[in-house]
Amino acid sequence: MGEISSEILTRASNGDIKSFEQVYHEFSDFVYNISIKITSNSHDAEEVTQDTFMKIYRKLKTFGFCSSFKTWVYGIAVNTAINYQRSSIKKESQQVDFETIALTLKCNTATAEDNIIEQEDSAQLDSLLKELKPEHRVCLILREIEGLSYSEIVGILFIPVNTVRSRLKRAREALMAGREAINNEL
Amino acid sequence: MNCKKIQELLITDYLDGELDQVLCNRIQQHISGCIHCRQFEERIVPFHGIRHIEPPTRVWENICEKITTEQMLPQGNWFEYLLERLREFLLIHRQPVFATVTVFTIMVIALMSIQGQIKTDTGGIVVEDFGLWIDEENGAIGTAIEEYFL
Repeated sequence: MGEISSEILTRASNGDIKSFEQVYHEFSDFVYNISIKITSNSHDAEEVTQDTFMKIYRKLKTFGFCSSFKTWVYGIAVNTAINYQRSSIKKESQQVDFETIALTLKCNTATAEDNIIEQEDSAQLDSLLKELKPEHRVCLILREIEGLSYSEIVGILFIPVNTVRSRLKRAREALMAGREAINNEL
Repeated sequence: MNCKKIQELLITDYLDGELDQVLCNRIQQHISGCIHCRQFEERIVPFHGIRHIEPPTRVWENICEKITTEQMLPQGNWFEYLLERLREFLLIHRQPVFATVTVFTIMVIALMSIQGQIKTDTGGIVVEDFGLWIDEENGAIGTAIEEYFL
């Protein structure tokens, strides 16, 4: 991911829709999935994905090629998703999103047994992630799910590396405690 | 390093591969001799079942539509743009617009004439609403046209 040439970016910034489509296909997977994890809702994730790419399209001319384009896109996506989540929390309490559940269940895995285990893990993870503070959740998602290094997370969230470390620590401790509580109940 | 520091590193840098080999070796040495830290490490379970979901195709379709709309918008004066769009609209749809305006005008006139009905009073004529008036002293109505109709 992130292998977009400066030529394509220049054409996209000049309004070439085909070039921008390449940018979309390169990053839409990340943007959509991080949006789902932050908002916990597929409908909101679609909105966030659209908003993110419209921001990218409008700001492309201001991207100076000084930093990594991937980091730049990730930063816009994460901030858009966090802001959307904050505003939607104010508007309404969270609801069960059947579409997200259905999408998750549709994903194919090797065997039926694996499928059940993974679905349980995924559902459990989703419910545990919802309990975390948004800033802790974002750090954990970027690290655990997207596999970004600490320095990459620093570049996206504009926070010191020690803050990344402490947020990951707190998020993981909370998840460990949550998992243990669930396992004790079973 | 004490157990607290070791456990902090276990749950962060060690787990995420952010430590150099020397520090990793020191931590592993500590774990091999410390039951508490070993138990702590065993509690750290990596995530399973995290899968990426592809965004629906309608997301790109919506983005594409928005971009196309934006590209049609002018970069400068919005007022001129709106006037231009209105002019284009009227040129294309002049017949339905003319018909709508005509029907609307007729309806307004009809409504006004119903509301502005004339009431006869004892010996004279009283006209209500819509600016019609009676010269009470002379018993005459405002204009010759009004007199003709009333």
